[in-house]
Amino acid sequence: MKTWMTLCLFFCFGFSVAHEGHGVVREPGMAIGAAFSPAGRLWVVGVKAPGFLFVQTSDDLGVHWSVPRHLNIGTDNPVADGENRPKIAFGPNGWVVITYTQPLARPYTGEIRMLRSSDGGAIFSAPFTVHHDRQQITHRFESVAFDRSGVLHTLWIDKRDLVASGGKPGYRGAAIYRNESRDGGVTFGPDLKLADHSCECCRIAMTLSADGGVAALWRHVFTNDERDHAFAALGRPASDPVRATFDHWRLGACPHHGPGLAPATDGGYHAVWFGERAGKVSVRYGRLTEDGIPAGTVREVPDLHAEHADVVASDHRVAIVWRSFDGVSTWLRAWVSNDDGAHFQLRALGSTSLDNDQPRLLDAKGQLFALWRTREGVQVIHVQP
Amino acid sequence: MCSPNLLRLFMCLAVGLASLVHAGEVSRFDRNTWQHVLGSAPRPLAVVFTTTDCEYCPAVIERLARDLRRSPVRAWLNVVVMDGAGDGPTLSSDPHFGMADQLFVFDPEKAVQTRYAIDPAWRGVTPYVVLLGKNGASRKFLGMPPAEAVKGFLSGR
Repeated sequence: MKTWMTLCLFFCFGFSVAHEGHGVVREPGMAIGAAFSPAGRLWVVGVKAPGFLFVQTSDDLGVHWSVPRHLNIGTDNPVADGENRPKIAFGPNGWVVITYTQPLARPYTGEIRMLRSSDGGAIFSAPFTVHHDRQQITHRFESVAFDRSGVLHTLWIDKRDLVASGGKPGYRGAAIYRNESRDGGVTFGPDLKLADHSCECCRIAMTLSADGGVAALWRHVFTNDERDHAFAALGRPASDPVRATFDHWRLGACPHHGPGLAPATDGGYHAVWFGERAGKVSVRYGRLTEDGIPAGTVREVPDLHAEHADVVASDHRVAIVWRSFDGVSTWLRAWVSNDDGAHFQLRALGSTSLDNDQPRLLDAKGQLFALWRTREGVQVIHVQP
Repeated sequence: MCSPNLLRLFMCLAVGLASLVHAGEVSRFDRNTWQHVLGSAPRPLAVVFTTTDCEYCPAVIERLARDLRRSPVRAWLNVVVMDGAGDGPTLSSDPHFGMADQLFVFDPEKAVQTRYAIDPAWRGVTPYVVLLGKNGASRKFLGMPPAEAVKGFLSGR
């Protein structure tokens, strides 16, 4: 009898172990947002379990971390995927904001949720929805940044115009919308459209512009389904976005790769992006003018398997990081320059055989740091040319 | 009259099958699964790799499912949701994922290794479609395969 019971249990287990059963919750993504506070403390925000948004801080660049602090987000269940991660940004007056996409019941829909603090992050508000439009449609892939005047800029991918068009074949992609808050997230101005025809699934890069405003770079769907990148400077009089890359990558699919953007010393920008150009898939680096127009030669990073790159710059120093899987391990690699990107040196910063996040770059008062979360923890690596 | 041992065997089978039915019919997928698919799965077989935030993917799955249904030759459709681990019940009730003959999710701890085993050059763009023909042919596409490719795949060319 015992033998039969054992066989029964073994049989049930054998069928169930390879299957996704009822009662199993979706595993949270590893993606984190990170930023240095004005006082130099490193903050990360992420998801530890479904519905569990946490922050952690470090005063010694990741050697020691605080105990994860669980933020009260009610019944929200933030997305924490590589291209759509929780974000944190610091402004003046002790303002801190955390944002994430909250999925709604229908597939591919969401709302941009924000928590705000006015005391440097000691206490955060309950989450609230940032945008005025409340249709059950796409409002996803947000990015946030404070400009030098302390204005909070929030950008996101939005499908209200696609919906309004009745899904006409002529409307490509989605739209980029934005709003501004001048009081650290207490009140917001109207939802403003920045561009029609953005890609639907790639992160939006934002950085400070030379005139103290904010600039943005995103993947766009140009005519012929070419998924290149578009640029806009938000502090300037409204104008059409500028085409910033010319890979001419024709694709009726989701790349899941957004760009990176950093300010250059001449008022222009450093940009990194992923794409296919003339049949070759690569991560590329290029310079943009202050208006977002390509300048100089576009270069491929020296890694055939590079993906999900980021860029940061301070004075004449520029760092680009990416991850790369060689069949056995994922490597964190960097290109570093001390002459505004004229010349780069290749560095290997780390590796892991375990699951890992896309790498991030931060500037802490002129020092450049790479952050990389793996199953082993968050690595903080000083990147020096 | 069945012997007691035979009755016990039937009970075991019944319980095992019941657990299969109630398991959400979504299976984990890793590089070993891919090797098994390449070596042993019935063909012609279309495999669509997708994610839960791929807005292009439902139309591709729907169109492939329709083409396969209309084919005089029996063909199969597998869908692999790369970021769907732990979400079996939701995925299997999705109308598009429900069109698959078999539905899988990536083992999240082995996602990049699995992707590399399928195609070292593939950097996660979706939908990624593999058409495995009856004649042993294997063709890979980003987005919807051209109509001619699907026709050839179904006809065994």
